[in-house]
Amino acid sequence: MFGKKKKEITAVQPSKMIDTHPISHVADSILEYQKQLAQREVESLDEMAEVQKAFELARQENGNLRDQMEELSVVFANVGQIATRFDSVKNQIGESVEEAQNRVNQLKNSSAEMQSSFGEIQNAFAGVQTSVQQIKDCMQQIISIANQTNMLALNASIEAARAGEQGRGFAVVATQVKNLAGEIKDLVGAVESSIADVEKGTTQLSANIEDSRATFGQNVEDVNEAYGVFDQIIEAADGAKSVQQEIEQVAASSEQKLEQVRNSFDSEEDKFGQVLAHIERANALGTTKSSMFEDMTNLVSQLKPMAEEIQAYTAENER
Amino acid sequence: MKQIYGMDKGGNLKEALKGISAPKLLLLMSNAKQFEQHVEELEKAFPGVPSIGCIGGSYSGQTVQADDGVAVVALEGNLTVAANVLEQASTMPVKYIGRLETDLDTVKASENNTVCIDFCTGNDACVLTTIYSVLGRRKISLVGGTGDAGKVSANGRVYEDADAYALIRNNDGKIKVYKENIYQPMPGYRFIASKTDRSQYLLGELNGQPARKVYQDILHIGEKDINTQTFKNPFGKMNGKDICIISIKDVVGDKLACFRQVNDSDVLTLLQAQDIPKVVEETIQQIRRDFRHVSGVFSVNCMFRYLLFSQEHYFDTYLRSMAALGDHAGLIGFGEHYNQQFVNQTMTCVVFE
Repeated sequence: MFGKKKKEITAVQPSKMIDTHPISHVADSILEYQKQLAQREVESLDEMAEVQKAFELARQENGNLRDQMEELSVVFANVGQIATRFDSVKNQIGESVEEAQNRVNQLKNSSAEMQSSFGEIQNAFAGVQTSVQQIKDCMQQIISIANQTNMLALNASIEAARAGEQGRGFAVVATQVKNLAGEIKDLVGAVESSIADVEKGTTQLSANIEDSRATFGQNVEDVNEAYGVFDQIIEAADGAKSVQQEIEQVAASSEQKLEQVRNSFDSEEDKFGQVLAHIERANALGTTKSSMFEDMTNLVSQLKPMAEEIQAYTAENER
Repeated sequence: MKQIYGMDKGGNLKEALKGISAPKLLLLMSNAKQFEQHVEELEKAFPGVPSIGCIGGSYSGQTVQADDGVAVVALEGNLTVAANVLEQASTMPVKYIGRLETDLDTVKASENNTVCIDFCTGNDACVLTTIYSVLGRRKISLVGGTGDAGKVSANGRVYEDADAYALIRNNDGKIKVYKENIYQPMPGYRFIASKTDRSQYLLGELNGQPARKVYQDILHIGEKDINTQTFKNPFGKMNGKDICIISIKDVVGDKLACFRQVNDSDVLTLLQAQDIPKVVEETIQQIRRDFRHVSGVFSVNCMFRYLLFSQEHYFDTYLRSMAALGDHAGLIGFGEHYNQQFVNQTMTCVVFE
């Protein structure tokens, strides 16, 4: 019975040795969890990096789209600018047409002056022809006078012949007068021939002037018609202005829409920036977490050797 | 507060201690051969004066000691100091956290006038997490670095696998810490680290691709050039808006071995050097804006920064620039501490008013 009691006492007597295995186990487990946590953190950081990459790509795309919009905006601005150049072209056309009209006016005035000159030339030719006729009349009178002189010289010769010796001298004079009358007639004939040539020439010239005048008249009509065409050009150029205004309006309206889109992009960019800042912040926090993991590991990793030391110490004391 | 820098390139500590009379804290920067001896001598020279030490080069004004010499930075004046050590740094520094809490109470640490300077043997990130779990709650800043050869000292005793720290309360003015990063991210490169081994400081993959290949492909360099290219293009671990520089140490297969642990899910970026004198000038100007009078600056400059600056014939100019602030001295470290951050290729410093 005593023996049994003694045995029971021995069986329930607590050991002085402290079992630190549970502490080591907890330390190991914490480190294992910490390792898994770090692995999750790696995956989480990877994901975050992917999100950031994707987001930066999206932002880049957004930037590209924005750039394209900017380019479109430049195109619209160019359209507007080109449309304003319409006005300038129209003004240039107007100026050119005005200058052409002035020149045509000058031409018309010159033509009128030339027509007037043609009239004066014709009148002058008519005067020449009258004068030629008068010359011809005078020539006829001269020829008539020369004939009469010739007759008188002949009569004088006859009378001189009757007078005999006394009239011999007079007969010589009469003959000379007759010869002179003949020469006058010859000269008048030559003059008449020349006058006929002049008359023929003036008639021909007059006809030419008439032809020229007719042709010139046709040209003046053409100029007048061209003057009308210039008016049509100005009218057409004025019409282009309204087209230009319409283009300008459309370009301005497009610009306005683009401005709205640009503002949307700005707003979106702002939001992108905010999200990226959050991602950056999350990343930064992630990096501080890894330092905290390190601190946790550094501390927890000391538990196991301490537990082992305690265990060894108590084991030593037990012995 | 007065900061005195003593140095002997031949390793004679007595020479280095000349001019130091009433130190409140001694910071020893020794060499691997004489470290234990120097620690002992220092304690004998100034028994009971709080001290911490490590193996590493040092500098001050125009002087650099990067070989087998010894240097001591003494802080004198109206200071309250406590020095101590967190042991078992590679496994459980938290076991000794009570020491730090007690020391904080002892010096009556407060946010604006107290700093923690520490020298560590390794596992720095873990140590800093542990220390800052206490300092952070009290908003106490920290500046420090990694020494060589896996040894540090505190109060006349050498420790392996430990973090030696000194809490300094400036009773005459404020204290502020700074971090200077001469690098900036190369645009367009953001990686998520995976397949890491934090105990070996290995970086396996960047965005699911082998880290070595990614680094080589981006920078168009051969494998043998990787561990020198890190001078120009280290990695940066993103931490919010802050960047912690990570140097590449070596290539291990398709992985990159770094001078700092990299964790799965760390977000990394590739860095490139900025205009270095401009960055330095900005730091100096910032300090000038923050302090009307600087009584001392203690900094930790990364060995790689020291090599890069020396390669660029800039280190002397750099020291002159910093000396213009006031008494400037520091450690050439193998990793820098800034609050809870363990960083590479960086300068961290504490400025005393």
